[in-house]
Amino acid sequence: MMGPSGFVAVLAGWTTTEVGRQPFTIWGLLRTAESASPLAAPAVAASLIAFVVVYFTVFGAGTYFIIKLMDHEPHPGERGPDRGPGADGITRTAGLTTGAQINPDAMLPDAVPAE
Amino acid sequence: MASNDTLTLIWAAIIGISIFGYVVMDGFDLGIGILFPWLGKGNDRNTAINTIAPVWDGNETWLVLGGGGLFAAFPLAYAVIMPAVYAPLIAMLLGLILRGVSFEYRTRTTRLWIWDRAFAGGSMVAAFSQGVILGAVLQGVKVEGRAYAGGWFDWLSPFSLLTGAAVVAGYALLGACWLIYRTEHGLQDRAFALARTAGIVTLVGIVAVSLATPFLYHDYLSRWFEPPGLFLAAPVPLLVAFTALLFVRALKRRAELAPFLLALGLFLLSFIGLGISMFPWVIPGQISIYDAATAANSQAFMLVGVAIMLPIIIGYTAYAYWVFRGKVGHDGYH
Repeated sequence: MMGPSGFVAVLAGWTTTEVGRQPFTIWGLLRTAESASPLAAPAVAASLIAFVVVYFTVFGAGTYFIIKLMDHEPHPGERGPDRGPGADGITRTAGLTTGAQINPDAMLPDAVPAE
Repeated sequence: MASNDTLTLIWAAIIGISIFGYVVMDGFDLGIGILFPWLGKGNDRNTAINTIAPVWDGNETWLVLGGGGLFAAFPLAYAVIMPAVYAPLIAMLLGLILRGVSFEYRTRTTRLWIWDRAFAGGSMVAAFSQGVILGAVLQGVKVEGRAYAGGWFDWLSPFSLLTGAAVVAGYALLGACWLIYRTEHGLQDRAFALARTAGIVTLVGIVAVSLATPFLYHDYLSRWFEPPGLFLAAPVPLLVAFTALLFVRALKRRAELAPFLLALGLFLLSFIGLGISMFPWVIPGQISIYDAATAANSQAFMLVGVAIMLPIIIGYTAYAYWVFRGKVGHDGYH
């Protein structure tokens, strides 16, 4: 239940600052109406719609992926990339690697369990 | 005043270096996205992604430095240019978002074709938009007082579409040359063929943009065709022709690193040509770097930060490229 409370607090604080300082962008010096860019309203509307479409696509796909991941249990002993050059002498470049894919034995060959 | 002008020149150089650094670095990884439809599905595409996976997002640091630097050091130029190129600028950002997430999604999805298309499409849109922005600034912007006074489609012209297409071709060339340098066997053969095609299209683009530019604005014409500008400008086209010749010969003898360096040379010469046309204007004929500069003490204050941060950025970037040097295989980015 308390999960989203952080988001609520951040958004509420932000809204308070932004609404509270109106009608100024810089308090007492520059009014919001004076600080707006010379952009046509349709330009702003079009870019807003484009952002909404792209963000919904990207975040929608990300949410779908997270839900799919949560749908099945992690497999113990998943093998990650080996350390250093492979047998063919080519160094594999791993970019971002999720936790489950890192094989601790492969990444730290000298590590000995602390017992 | 003299010291103020020196500071302004230093800041113009920093912005220039950032923009060129961005083109050099993000150019080839956007180019790989542009070439994606012409790369074999599966291993070839995975290898191509692996060559840029460790460095591509760091490359975009220079875009932030260039944009942030322009905002901080030349606020008037920033305030006029951003509304003038609003539509292509937003298109560029959306393109970069789509291709950025595609790096992660394409390795985890079962619907690869969606994210491969998003990667290629996003890269093309971003590159094309950058070219359009360049063309739009070069052809001039309507200014009244201290603000942009044009409409929201003023950026659109045959010239800006030409510069957009030329930048797409140029980035594809950088991408193909990068693949020659970093891959082997079948994919490298493919990259040689793509570099040839992209090289031809890029040279046509450079020639077309160079021929059109002097007629956009009388000041450009006199700089390129009348002394004393002539003496500064004349070597540039000759050097472009010489570099192009070296490039063709490097491809013929199947050199691996030389084509990439020569392609970067073509970009550097084009960039110098751009400088000859524009300096010291930010908005041609309207706003010079001296008009657009912020207060000298602000510039001096920020210069301290840049003097510390720029060597650090260059250092870690060089280190990242060093760590991930050499030929690249097709697995590893799980």
